[in-house]
Amino acid sequence: MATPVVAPDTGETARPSRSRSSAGTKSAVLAVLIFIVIVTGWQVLATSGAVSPLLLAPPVDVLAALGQMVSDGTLWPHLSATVQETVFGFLLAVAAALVIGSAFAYSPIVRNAVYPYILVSQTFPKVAIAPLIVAIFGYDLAPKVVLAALLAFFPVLTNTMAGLTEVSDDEVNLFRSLRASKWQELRHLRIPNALAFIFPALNSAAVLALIGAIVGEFVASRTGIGYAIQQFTTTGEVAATYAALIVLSIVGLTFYGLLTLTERLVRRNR
Amino acid sequence: MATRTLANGSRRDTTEPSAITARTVSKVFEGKRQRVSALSEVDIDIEAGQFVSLIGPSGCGKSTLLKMIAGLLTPSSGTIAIDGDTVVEPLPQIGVAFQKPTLLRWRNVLDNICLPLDLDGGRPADGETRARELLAMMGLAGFEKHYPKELSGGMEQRVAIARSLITQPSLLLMDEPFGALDEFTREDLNDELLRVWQHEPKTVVFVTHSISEAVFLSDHVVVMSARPGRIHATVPVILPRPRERSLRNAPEFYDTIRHIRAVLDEARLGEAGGEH
Repeated sequence: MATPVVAPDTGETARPSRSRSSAGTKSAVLAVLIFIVIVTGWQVLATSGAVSPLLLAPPVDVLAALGQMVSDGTLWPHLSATVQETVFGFLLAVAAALVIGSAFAYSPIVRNAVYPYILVSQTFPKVAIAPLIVAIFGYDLAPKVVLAALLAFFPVLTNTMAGLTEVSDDEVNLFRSLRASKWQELRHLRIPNALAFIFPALNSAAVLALIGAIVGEFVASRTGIGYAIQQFTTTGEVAATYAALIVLSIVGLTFYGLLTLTERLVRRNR
Repeated sequence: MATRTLANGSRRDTTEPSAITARTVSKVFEGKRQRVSALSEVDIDIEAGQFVSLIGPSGCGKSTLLKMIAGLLTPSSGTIAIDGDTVVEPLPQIGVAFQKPTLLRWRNVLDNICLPLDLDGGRPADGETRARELLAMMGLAGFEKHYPKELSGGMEQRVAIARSLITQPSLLLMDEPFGALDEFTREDLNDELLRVWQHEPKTVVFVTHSISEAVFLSDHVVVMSARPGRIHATVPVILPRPRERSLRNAPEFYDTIRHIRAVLDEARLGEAGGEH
């Protein structure tokens, strides 16, 4: 049941082919076409009466609802709450996973003693303890941050451990033959090696942190996108519900983009 | 003796090659179910400035012996000394090249070559100039900014050899560095290695499976036998230097190969069990 280690990005990329730009253009055209088909299909489905307007709002209405939320400012407190919960949870999880993962990588005794417990905790569906966490941490920011962190922690932990320990004997012997200190081995071999493992895990962690935050908001909250979605659903504001979902996907994409950018900055040319 | 780059950036002008002595060196690997005797009571003297190859069947302990000279393995008994210093850990005057190039994929070619300098107090003022010179000597001028994934196996191994030379080691230890390369690339790299060696005299201990490679490169070929690993004979290679490509067509080159093959056969037939 352990989360499998995400394959490290070893920098192997396909060689650019001569037709790359024309293939890229074709893909872009195809993507736009797919988008148009989906939105048109959605509009037709929603307005034809085939699907109840209580379940599906036409895209035009969704866009209007989104515009309304932005212009009257009701979106911002919800957005800001969810983003804060996700970011804090993500950072907490990453910090804890890097520290604990490094400790495990360096002390097999500690790892063998503690890891089984962490593994057991992972086989357990953590969203099930969301009500308990709310009961412990109250209704504000804290329980959502904790839930986001709990969900995001594990992939970063396993990949940190793998990245720090999976260096070849030859690489270790090379550093030994160069009389490198343990610190130099860490700085020049293990950490750069681990980055190729950790960055793919961060992408999963960001998505999981967002899930944790939303689940926390569902359970008990006064603000946040998850809270807004619940409100809109109960009051039958279908278009606004879909607008909130679109905002969530934009949040997810933004995290993904920021992480990709960070990776480019940290791992230049690789 | 030590010719390693000094921390303040100055460097010794003259490189004095190292001498190696091994006395009754044995190595036993303790497995869970059995003990494997990899090397038994080996005595060897390698004079300063010699190019010596270790050759022998699989399991003769030639790589084990090399790793013990490098200080990467500890003898079970006996002692190895470089320039009179007993080896208990890797000594500063060695450079090591492994069978795999072992380049760091996140460093470009120039930074890979400079790794030993970075780990030894930083690059001296002329460090990168020397790296470029070595790269040019290995036939890779202009590849400084390339990353390992952009290189072929032969190119990677050239970079690895340049890296092993950057600190001007007085002793170069090479563990089958060209074993994974095709014959043509291997011969090119043999030529380049000899050119560098002629340019910067040093002691070289070279492990190989190839008799012709051993003959082409070496002053002495140490023939080993297996189970347990022992030195069977040390054969001098009396061929003129500098050695050029044309030597590979010379009758005396083939005579030496034939002779060493005969000694190797003798070593293998002498093995207990004689399974060959």
